[in-house]
Amino acid sequence: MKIKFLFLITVAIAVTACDPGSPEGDSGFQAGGAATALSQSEFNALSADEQYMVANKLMGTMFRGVAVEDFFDMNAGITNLRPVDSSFLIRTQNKLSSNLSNAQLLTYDSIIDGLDADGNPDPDNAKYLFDTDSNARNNERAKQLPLARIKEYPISRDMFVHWMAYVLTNTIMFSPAEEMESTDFTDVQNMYRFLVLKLEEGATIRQIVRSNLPSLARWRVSRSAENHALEAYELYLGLFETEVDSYRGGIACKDLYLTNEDDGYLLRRTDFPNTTPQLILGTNYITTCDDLYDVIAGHPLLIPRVVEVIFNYFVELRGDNLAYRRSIINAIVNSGPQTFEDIFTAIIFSKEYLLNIERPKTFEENMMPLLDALKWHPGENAGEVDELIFRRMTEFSDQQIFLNGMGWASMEYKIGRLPNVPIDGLSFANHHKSMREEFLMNRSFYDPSGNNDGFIYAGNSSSDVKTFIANMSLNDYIDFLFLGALQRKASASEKVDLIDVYATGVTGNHLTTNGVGDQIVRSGRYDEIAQITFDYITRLPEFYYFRSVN
Amino acid sequence: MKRRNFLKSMAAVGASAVLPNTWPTAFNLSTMYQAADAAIDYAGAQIAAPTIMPQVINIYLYGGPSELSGNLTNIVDIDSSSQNSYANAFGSGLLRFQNDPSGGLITPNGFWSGAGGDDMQFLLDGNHMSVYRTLMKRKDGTRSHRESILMSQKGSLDIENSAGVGTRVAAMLYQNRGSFEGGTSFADGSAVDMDDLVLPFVSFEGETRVFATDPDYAVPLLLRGTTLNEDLEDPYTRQNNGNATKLDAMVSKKLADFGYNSRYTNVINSNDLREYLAQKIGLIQSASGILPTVSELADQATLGLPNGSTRMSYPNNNRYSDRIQAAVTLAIENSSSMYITVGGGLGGWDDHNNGIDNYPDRMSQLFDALKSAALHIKYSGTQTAGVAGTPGGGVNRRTDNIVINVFGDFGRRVNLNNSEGWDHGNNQNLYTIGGAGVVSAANGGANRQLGKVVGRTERVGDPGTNNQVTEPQAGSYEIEPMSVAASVYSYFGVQNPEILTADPDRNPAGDAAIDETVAGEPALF
Repeated sequence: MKIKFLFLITVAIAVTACDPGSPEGDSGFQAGGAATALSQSEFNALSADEQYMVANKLMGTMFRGVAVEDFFDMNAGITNLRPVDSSFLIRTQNKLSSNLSNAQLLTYDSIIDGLDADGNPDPDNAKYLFDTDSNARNNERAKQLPLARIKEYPISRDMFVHWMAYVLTNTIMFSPAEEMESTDFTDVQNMYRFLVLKLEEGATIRQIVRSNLPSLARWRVSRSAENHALEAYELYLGLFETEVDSYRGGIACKDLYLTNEDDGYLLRRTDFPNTTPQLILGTNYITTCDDLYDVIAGHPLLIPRVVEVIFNYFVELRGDNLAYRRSIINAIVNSGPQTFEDIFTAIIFSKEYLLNIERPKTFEENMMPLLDALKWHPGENAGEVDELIFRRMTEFSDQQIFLNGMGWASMEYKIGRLPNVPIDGLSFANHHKSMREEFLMNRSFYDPSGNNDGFIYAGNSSSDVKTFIANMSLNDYIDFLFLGALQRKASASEKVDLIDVYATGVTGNHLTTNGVGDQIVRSGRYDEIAQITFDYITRLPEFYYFRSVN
Repeated sequence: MKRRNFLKSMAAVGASAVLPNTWPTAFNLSTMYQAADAAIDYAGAQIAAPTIMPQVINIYLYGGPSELSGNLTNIVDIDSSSQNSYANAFGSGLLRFQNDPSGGLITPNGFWSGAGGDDMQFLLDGNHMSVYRTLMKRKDGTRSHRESILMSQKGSLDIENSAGVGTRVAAMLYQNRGSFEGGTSFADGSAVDMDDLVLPFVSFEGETRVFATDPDYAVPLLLRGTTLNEDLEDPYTRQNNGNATKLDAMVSKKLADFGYNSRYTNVINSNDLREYLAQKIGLIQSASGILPTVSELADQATLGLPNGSTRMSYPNNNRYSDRIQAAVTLAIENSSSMYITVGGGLGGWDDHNNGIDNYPDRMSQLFDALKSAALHIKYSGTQTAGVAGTPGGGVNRRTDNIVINVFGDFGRRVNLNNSEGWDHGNNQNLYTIGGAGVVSAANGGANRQLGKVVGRTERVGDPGTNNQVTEPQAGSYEIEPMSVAASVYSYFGVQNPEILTADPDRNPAGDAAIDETVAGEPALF
């Protein structure tokens, strides 16, 4: 009993002594070694094109994008691209560390949900439409609202928190496992909100894991006392050979059980708690389930496991890059991260990630940044890219953009999403056709008015872009389109071939000549040119990757 | 330095580097960072090519189903030792034979009537199926889902960075193509040409580790696993706008650059498969949807066909029907589909709780669908007496080369826990259906033998605790999960399938194929 008592004191100190975090997100954590952050000066030393690609890699990872005209000084022209400022990385990191005010949040939530005077969602005034099923257990809004907030919130710590929570609820560690019989959308909402609230308050990894372990949402996934212990070892410590430890953990948790379906899958007690200390994981004596939770939350393997699970989503898992992956995981672990924010920040701002890692994009990473980069606004009659976009992604199984069809369902899998983006024939076909036919080939995507006399960003109040483009050469316009969708300029060969398609393609000749004999876009045909260009871009394999600079 | 040694040394360096000195040495991260072991010796497979190429449908029950629906032989002992009463949970009939005057739920071969047992008995009595009750993990007793799934789906104890079973079949066939091309034909009589195969390896469950690539050997693209959905829909074909030829020509220019091509290989391969499926899916679609007629009255009765109707059907309102029917349809209509996987989401059979409500119904649905699958196969083939063999696509072929294997991660405890479920165990059943015309080296060259139950079990563990399982009785025949993979290889003519399941460190001798000549257990009454 002494051993147990001493251990619990140690764990309690380990958990409670951690910095509870400040409302603002910058903990001052800096990863070193192979996970060293890319500096602003290193970023600025990149070519302008590369800076734009890296900026979009950073933002795209968080499902956001940077438009060409926002990143570059358009007055400088396309040929000689010039970023508008020299502090993009610093500014972005500062924004991600800064919370929005409550008034600001209310403003954006009102845009998303059309909140009325009483604070209730009003679909008639909302930018997006969500599931309105009156049966809370079946209402899928909990999957949809996070995507809308990530999309609509300005770059800020609040957006960052929602994105981190979204990623985490799609890992094995925090998946609400909506596919299971014992879970429903209440668990999706609760798990997501739990993470958002904890991340907002700056809770440490150990505190979050400790708080999650006793939750009903976690029990509805594990479902029995012994399996609750087994999954705790696997999910949070990465230990997979725990037959005896799981059995003993089950004894410690034997006072708890999940009721059956008729009784609502609730957590109840047998009223016969264990009283015999159980030795687990070699050195730890536990008697109750709370003791087990303390051991897990205080265990030295917790942080390495968490870093590994998260990092695996940001790198392509291959047999030949094991040592490389390990070097970055080690570097982050050895830098002593305390919060999930520390880990995510270390990964996405690292030099390795931004400059060297190349991996296939998830559908969210491919599609949602284009909503920003092409200044999309949900319009009526816009096919699948209307105000129901997030319902179509998460709820409507007959839609092309339904994430499940890409092997990438949200918050659904018990084991979370697999780290490697599924690119089997079926998953890739659905991803490819969604990007090509529902977004970039769908002119309503960038012409929400639905009028053929419109132009890219017709829904945007700014007319500067139109003016810039009207004055561009044909080659510059092609580069502009390439940059926006592919984050690089077109090659000379691509321009020659595309110009041939513009002039002789099946939709007619979209080109003419100006007074000095140069080919230019025929009046009112900018959309057609964009459509053909985007058709080509979606056929390129590189379009489906976050690319490396080096 | 040999590759294996290189990887081992790399793993050692990495593992020590990641662990601070102050951490407990009892733990290591080896499970996270295991490296692949030695390359698989496909060329070392000794081949006696079959006359007709087999077709295997692997139905994987993610989560690990309880064995009880297929094995109630120990139920009285289990009930008396369990923390919670089976009789109370499922009714006292669970403890009695069906021929008991008071009525019972135990069928003649020990299946659970009401949990798929009646359909199991039908399949057994009709020589459609055999059941192996002692699929027992002894070499690696992990009860982790991940480790167990990978073990089964890779047919090896070397689970990290190693090839899946489907990939191993593909690599073995390709490396030994000379043994098959010319001597073996597909069931429809067409010749085997490894360079011209239509949908040879198919998943109906999206990306699966069954087709995990081999780090040491890249099988040609056509022999890699492709994915279809259960509706055999076509999400592969692009909308054509007339510019396709010119735009694709532009893409081809890019792909001609070796650096570009190798940089984006994975997506390029996926797109190639998409294009390939766009060309082929129409043929499969047009052939599907027409089921054969059922001539025998007993079969009509068990399918519940309405009076006067002989067209077979799959059960409605059944969560497994569509996917199993799609897999069987593909196998029948496309005899070059040699390995097909079917599965569901993890958790489907992971009955830690609420087994009372869910498990019997789920098992009933599964075996209702499997019964239809067996009869679909039977009545689609020319081997069935009095049947012309006219499946939907009008293919004239035998279908007794189609094998369906059904198993999962592991078995479960037999103690009914406080959440009314069962925690993870290590002994499970293998249900193997069809393929009466398939030969296996492990059978001494004899055909598969169906219609029996193999293996005897006993309950072990302290009564009143959760740690109670069944295990093979002393002297009982038993097999490892790798034996299921070895049997698949043997169906394709591999005489020494151990070589494809072996692992120099963890399992140097490998595992043999299932000996299907082992005598079955006698009926209980």
